[in-house]
Order: sequence, then structure tokens, then C-alpha cells
Amino acid sequence: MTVTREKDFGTPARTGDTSVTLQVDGHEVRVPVGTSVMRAAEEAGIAIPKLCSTDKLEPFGSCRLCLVEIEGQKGTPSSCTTPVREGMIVETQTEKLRRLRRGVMELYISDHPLDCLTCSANGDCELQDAAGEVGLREVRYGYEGTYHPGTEVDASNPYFQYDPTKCIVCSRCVRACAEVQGTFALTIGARGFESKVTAGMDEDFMSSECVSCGACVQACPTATLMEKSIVEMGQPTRVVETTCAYCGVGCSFRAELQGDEVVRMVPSKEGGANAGHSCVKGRFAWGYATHKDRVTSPLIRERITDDWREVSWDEAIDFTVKWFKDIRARHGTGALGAVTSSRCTNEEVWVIQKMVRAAFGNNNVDTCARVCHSPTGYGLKQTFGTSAGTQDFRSVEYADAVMVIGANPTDAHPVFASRMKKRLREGAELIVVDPRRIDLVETPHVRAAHHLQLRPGTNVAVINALAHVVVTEGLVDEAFVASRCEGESFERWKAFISQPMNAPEELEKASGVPASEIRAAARLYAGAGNAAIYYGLGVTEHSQGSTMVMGLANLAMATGNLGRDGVGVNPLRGQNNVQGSCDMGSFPHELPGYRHVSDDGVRASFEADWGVDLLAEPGLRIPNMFAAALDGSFKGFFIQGEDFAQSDPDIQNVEAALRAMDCVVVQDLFLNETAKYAHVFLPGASFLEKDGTFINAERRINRVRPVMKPVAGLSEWETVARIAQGLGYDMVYESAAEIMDEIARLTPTFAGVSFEKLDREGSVQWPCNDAAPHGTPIMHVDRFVRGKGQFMLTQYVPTDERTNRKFPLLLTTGRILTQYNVGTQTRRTQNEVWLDEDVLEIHPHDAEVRGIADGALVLLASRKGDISLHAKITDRVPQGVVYTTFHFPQTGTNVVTTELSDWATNCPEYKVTAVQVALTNRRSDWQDAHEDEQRDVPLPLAGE
Amino acid sequence: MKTSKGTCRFPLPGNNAKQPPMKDDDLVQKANQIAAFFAPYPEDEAVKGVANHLAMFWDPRMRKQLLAIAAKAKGLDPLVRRALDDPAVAVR
Repeated sequence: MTVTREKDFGTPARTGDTSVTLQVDGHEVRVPVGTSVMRAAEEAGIAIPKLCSTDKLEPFGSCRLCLVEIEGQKGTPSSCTTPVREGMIVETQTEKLRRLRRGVMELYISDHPLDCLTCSANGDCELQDAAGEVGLREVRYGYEGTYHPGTEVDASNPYFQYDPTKCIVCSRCVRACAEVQGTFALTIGARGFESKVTAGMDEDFMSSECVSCGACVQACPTATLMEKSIVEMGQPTRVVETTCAYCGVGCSFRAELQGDEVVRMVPSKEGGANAGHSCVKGRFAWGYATHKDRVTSPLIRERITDDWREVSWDEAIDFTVKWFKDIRARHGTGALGAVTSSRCTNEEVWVIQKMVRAAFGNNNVDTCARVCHSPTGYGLKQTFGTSAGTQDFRSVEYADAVMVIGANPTDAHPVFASRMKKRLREGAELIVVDPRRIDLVETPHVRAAHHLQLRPGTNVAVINALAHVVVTEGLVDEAFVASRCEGESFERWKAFISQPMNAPEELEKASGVPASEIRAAARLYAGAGNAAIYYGLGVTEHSQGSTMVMGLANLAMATGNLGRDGVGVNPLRGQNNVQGSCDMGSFPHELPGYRHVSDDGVRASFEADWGVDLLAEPGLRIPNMFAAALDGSFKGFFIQGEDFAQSDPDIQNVEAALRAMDCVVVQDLFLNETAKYAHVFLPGASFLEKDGTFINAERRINRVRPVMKPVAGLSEWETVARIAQGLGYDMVYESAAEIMDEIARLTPTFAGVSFEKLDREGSVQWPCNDAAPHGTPIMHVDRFVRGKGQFMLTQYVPTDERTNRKFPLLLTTGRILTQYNVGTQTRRTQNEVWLDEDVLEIHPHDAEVRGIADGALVLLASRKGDISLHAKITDRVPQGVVYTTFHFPQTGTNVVTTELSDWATNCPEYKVTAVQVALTNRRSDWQDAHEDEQRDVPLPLAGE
Repeated sequence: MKTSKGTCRFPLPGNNAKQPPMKDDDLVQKANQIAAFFAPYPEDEAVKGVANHLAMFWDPRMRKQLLAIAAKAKGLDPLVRRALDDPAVAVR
């Protein structure tokens, strides 16, 4: 067996309070009721030969290799499908069993090519292992099996290949696609000797509905489904456990390596967030880390029109320090600021907010959560007392009803979506609230009971209408409200929400959702037993984003859906460390742990530890920074891994602000769009080079471990510490672990966290402290963090962004499965085979009245600007709504989006822009100018 | 900026104008949004809510600007006007 393979117990673990004791080969073993004999044996350290079973899949009993003898029982049952019982006596190694297993193996091998030495699975082949275990020495039937002649290798997928000649038809791939991923793209085609794994309607993998999650490849016991990287490079020789750097699910991975070179990434079964599953990005799209576009030396220039100059770290840091000191001297301390990245580790984020507060001398630090989940922070803090989702992902397995609002989990959080789909296939009901018909509305064996297809911008109208039904139809969980919530706030909310203006029949006029659907959905949610809310940026990125989050919290409190498994209010965080970057205090009004800067006691604890006085006034948020740059009071900007010039709304305003600054420092992997306006470029470290922690959407603190040294020679936190030193603040750390120790020392919810604990326990969910030394999977169990839950009044206020004769359609934006946000990473992988340009989804009616054919080039215009892109006609979007992504800089989607933002947090209103669409035969002026800029980008010459 | 090439089938009102810097109108709009949230609360509580929000989340230079323009600002919500009298909003 390969040195990198995880132990496989053959069948899934069972849990329960009742256990039984049995004997396996004379060894006593005690396991929960429902455990298979195979797993019981494995837990006793006794391996039973197997091929069709694996502990990620339910037992199947087809390979007939795992046969055992059981005292008092006739025959030789398969151990994978036989459950244990009290007093059972099992023999796994008898002469009869050996003979039977050898016979089975002979049949397999008679139809399997014997090219083991040149096979890509050599050293990691379960068929090879099984042949060895059963002592196969001859094949009485000859070796002339046809190996499915005429079948060619399907290499259509960029990351893995399918070689039918190696297939033993164990169905593990088919079952993985169904049970684990929930896509049902595979089946066993034909019958008898002609049986073979078939994708879609007997298509190649790329043409089928396969989503390239890799579950089938991972499940395959032979070289039938194999990563192309293994075919090309061979088997890995060592493993490093680390965490994915894409979405907020935070999957644990085993980076399998040859030396420092990644051969493949395999999801870890022990991963608390993903339990051994993955998606196409985490599993396969890691090649950007070694892409030729990586900048590996610091760059500087006096003006943004100058060519870049490659310099040493010392020179780049001195240059930065000189500029920042000069700006501080000329314009005051308030003229400097920084933005942290949710792509970076907690430790890297911590040092930046510390640099801002201790070395810049202000609170001008913000994070990219500003443009995604900042309303979650505000809304959940007001109602529950802290800025975090309430559950762990596992909790969904206990939900009876799931409400998905403004989220598209199968595209944006695919690994969690698979877990959710599994529960939905088991019978949980689904309510989807979204203007688009996302895949979850109808997917194999899942159909939403209600799809509330609201008009963009009317979330609060819908949530108020749902709450109105709950209150006026007597569906409130009175006992929960009485014991867990503030009585006064509830009574006031009850009176407010009961008003006729909040009735579904009234709010239908705004939202477009039929009142009858609202009433039925409210009854389903309130009466389900365990009802869970999962939401995304379709909730937060609105002018009433924070109001909507509070509306969700109100609904959950009113129905008692908090504080136990299967319920909760769960933000699906966009990026790998959004939760962490917020936890680490990269907000202009909050110190780490969500404590306001005006709190004298909290500030004193930091001042004592850091040895500096801290400012008690809030600083600038990102949009305020841009505004202040344009009015001349904000001049120096440290930007960590954030590409404002592509990701932020109203790009032309962003570009103007960046141009107005004296010194822009960008720390990133690539010369991104924002770097066009930078004076200093500091090469960052990819997740494969980082040492630290990420925190996912369920507050899970996961270790990120380096598999190679930083390619630029310096870790990101070291760079920042040196700049802080240059500015006169003595920031010195020996390691990332030392930074985590400081985090734990100063942040009560992290008091029990250390690298040593994480290495020992795998991961923990904060709060992790003396009260909860192993973390807190579910929050607010007996009491809310703020004590009693607070109901907030959530009046529906229509957005100022309105359609009119000039702009009659509403644009909403989002992301897709294979590309990731601004595409900095995924555009530098083979994921481009799935999508290589942003397209505009438009309803057939809206297209027809404009004379637009599928694939036509169209101009998309708002009051802010216009861009051209190709149209995709689909009834996935309703009439009056168009949709696109923002993955490609040449598209410039955010040229069109507006400056409007959430009332409480300034989170941009990406989801609502009034637009017009028309046929065109040209790129827009902005796109022309952008293309010219791309051509003119002065890149440094190698060695310059 | 390059001249546009080709034609668009329908004349569209798209524009590529630069945004002016932090405008008084923007501050008034943001402040009014805050007032709109607190409007359903009893008036004194709403005023306190607006004042606390400004004090807790707005950078001093923004509060200073709003205080400076409030007297002559058109369309400023009365809740905001009252909130600006709260000492919490003053720049410390």
C-alpha cells in the first residue's frame, strides 16, 4: 500500500448510545449497533480483503471478496453488508475463505490487464493489494479477458482520465457520484461482460453533467479513474495536511507531494468541514500556485506610469517606509490605511491590523468582508450578540426543513451543498428564496417545495411577510421566546410585524412573490421541527443587507430554531478566511473579537500588550477610503490580496481613487488589476507556502501548513512586521505560532487556541477557551452571547436603485462553480475549459423584444457605465432580471454596478443595478481602454 | 479615452463619467438610510439609534463633514438632524 493512503475501514462509522460486543478472530471488539462486521474487524486491527467497499460509501456487497464465516450462521456472508450483533463470533481467515477469495480474484484478474509495472496506479492499487492479500498465484481461466476491447481512454476532462480497460465494475465511482456528490452523472451501462462505467448519456466526461468534484477518482480502487498528474508524475512520496484556500467551506486536504512538488490534492476524511469530499477547485485547481505569472521579487516605481523595477526586499521595504513616513508627516496619521484579505491566514491578517493600529496610529483598517458579509457581522451581533454562524456543517444532517436564501451552494459552496443535498434526498423539505432558478431548485432527487422567486432588492419584504404569517397564524414558539429572548423587544416586534403593511398580500406588490406561496413556506418553516436557514451574498449585498440579516434572526428566534442540531442561521461565507479576517479585528470600528475601539477596557488590554496608545475613534471603511482619497485626505494604502479594481463596485470611481493616491502598496501573488495603480508590489505567498490558520463559515479554525518555502523568500507576516519596524514600531515574531499565541492572549474567544492544540485535535470551532476547551460546534445553546435574543424592527425600505424607461431591467451578479471571484487563481488553471468569459443571462422574452439571439454580443449599460459581453438566453432568470459573473477583468462587470450600499455597513449593493441591454458590435469604451492598458503594462524584464 | 468603434443598435445612455469626490449629497444619503432603519422605533429611541450608529461606525472626518453641512443640507432626515445634537456624534 502506498505511504500516502488513509486507513479505510470499509464501511461508514455508525454512532449511537447502544453498543454490542463481538469476537473477530478471537479478539473482542465493542462497536455501536449498526456497524458492519467489516468495520468492527478493521477497528480491531483486522483487515478483511475488499474491493467494492470503502468507508465513504454505504456497503454494496458486490465484489464477494470480504466474505467471512460467522458461528451459527450458514454460508459465507459479505462482511461489509452484515451488521454486528451481540455475542457474534466471526472468523475472517479460514481455508474455505481463502479458497473462495482466490477464486473471486482469479475472475477479476482474468479480465484485467497485467501491466502493473507501467500502470499509473502501481503502488496505490487496491486490486493489486487484494491479489497479494489472498495469495493469488495462478489464474485458471487464462489472461485472455478482453479488457473491454475498442474502448479508448477518455481524457476529455482536464484533470483526470477514464480508462475502461482497468475497470473492475465495483460501482464505487457510481456510488460516490450519487451518495457523496449527489450529481448522479455516472451509471453502469450495459449488462454482463459488457458492463462499464458510463458518464451521462454514454458521453465523454466533459460532455456529461459531471462536475469534476473528484469523488469518483478518489473512490476508484484501480487506475480506471486517475488524476492526470499521477499519470504524468507518478505516485506521491509524502503528505502534508492543510486547508483549501478557495471558499468558506474550508475543506481539509492532504497535499500529496514528490519533494516540494504537489502531485495531487486529496480531501481528508478527517476534515471537520468536508469529511473527505471536495470540489473541482480545491481538488484540482491549485496549479496557479506555480504559474509562470507569479511575481517572485519585490517591484517598485515612483509613478504608476513608470516601468516596474525589480528590487531587493530591503529596498522595497525601505521605499514603502519612506513613502508612508512622508505621507504621515505631510497629511497626518489619518492619511494611511490598509485592507486585509480573506484569502490570507489569521496570522497574516492580525499583523496588518496591528501595523495599522500600532504603527500607522489609526483605525483605518478594513477587510474584503466589507463587500460581502459585513451585514452578517452587524445583524447577528445586534440580535444574537456575536458575528458568526450558529451551527457546524454537520448540523444540516438533522434539519427537517432547509431555507436557502440568496445563496447558490452547488456553485459557490459545493462541498457543503453535497451534504445538504444528501439530507434533502433523505426527505428534508427545501425552500429556496432567489430571483434565479438555482440548480438546487430542481436537481436529481431534490425538488424545492417552494421557490420564492422574488424581485431583486425585496428580500426584507419577503422575510417580513414570512414573519407576519408566523406571528398572525399562531406559529410562534412561545416557550422559546419567553425563556430565551427579550420580552420587550419581542412584543414590539410582534406588534410591528403584525401590521397589515407586512402581510404577504401587501408585500406581494413589491416582491412579486404570490402571498399563497409565502404563507405555505412560512408554515413549512415554522412547523418543520428543525428548520435551518442558510444564506449568502444575495442577502447581504443590498442596501438593506443588515436589515435582512436581522430579519432572518428574528424569524429563527420566533420559531425557536436556534441552539440545537438541525436549526440555526448560517451565513455561507464566500472566501476561505472571511470569518477569520473579521475575527482578527480588521474592521475600522472593532478590535479583534468584535470589541469596539471605544471600549476603554479592551483598548487598555491591547495597549498593555502592544506598548502603544490606541485610537478610540473608528477609522475609514473601504468605500470611505476611496472617497477620502478623492478628497485628498487619504494618501497611503497597503492592500493585501484584494483586487479592488476588478471586484469592487463602480470601478471607474475605484480607479480614480487609486490614481489619486501617493503610495499604493499591493501584496499579492500576481500583478492584478489593482497593481496597475500601485507603486510597490510585494510578492505574497500562496496557500501552499503559508503557515497559519484559516477559519471557515462554521467558525472552524483549521491549520494551513506549508508544503514549500515562500517562493519570494519572505512570508507575508514577516514583510508586514518589517514595514512596521521601519515605521518605528517594534513588531517582531519568530513564527506564525507565536502570532497565534498573541491572538489567544488578547481575544477571549480564542483563549484556548494554539498551533499545538490544532495539530493535536485537528481543528476547533471558536469560542475555544476555558469554558469550551474543545471548541463550540453549536452556539447559543442555553443562552445567546448577548444574554437574551433581541428582536429588531425591520421595515422594508425599497432601494434607491430603480428601474425606469432608460434602464428597465435589473442586473444581479454572482459566481459559478469552476471560476472563483475575480478569477486571479482559477483563470490560471485549466478551469478555463468550462468558462473563459463572463456571459449575460437574459430571459427569452427580454431577449426577443431586443432582437437578441443566443450568443450575440450585447451592450450592458447602467447609469454608471457600460460593457459588452455575450448573451446567454435562459429562463433560469425571470423576465426583467439579467445576471452575470465578474470573473474576468476584460469584462469589467463592476463598471456597471453602483455606489449604493447597505445602510449599516456600506456593503455594496451588487445584487441590484438598473440596466438596459441592447445588441452591439463593439466593445465598450472602458473595455477598449482596458485592453490598451493591458497591452501597455510595463512588466519588469527577468533579472532587471 | 479612445473613440468608440462600430455602432450600437440602440442609443444607450451609458456614460463613463468620473465620480466626484466624497460629496455632501452622499453623506446625506447615507445618514438618511440610517434614519430609515430606525424610523419604526419611538422617536427618542430612533434619534439615539442614529446618533449611536454615527458615533460607532463613522470616521470622525465624516461626522465632522456632516455636522458642518447639516444646517444647510437639503433633504436631511429630521431624525438625523436631532441625532447630530447628541454629544456622542461630536468629534472627540
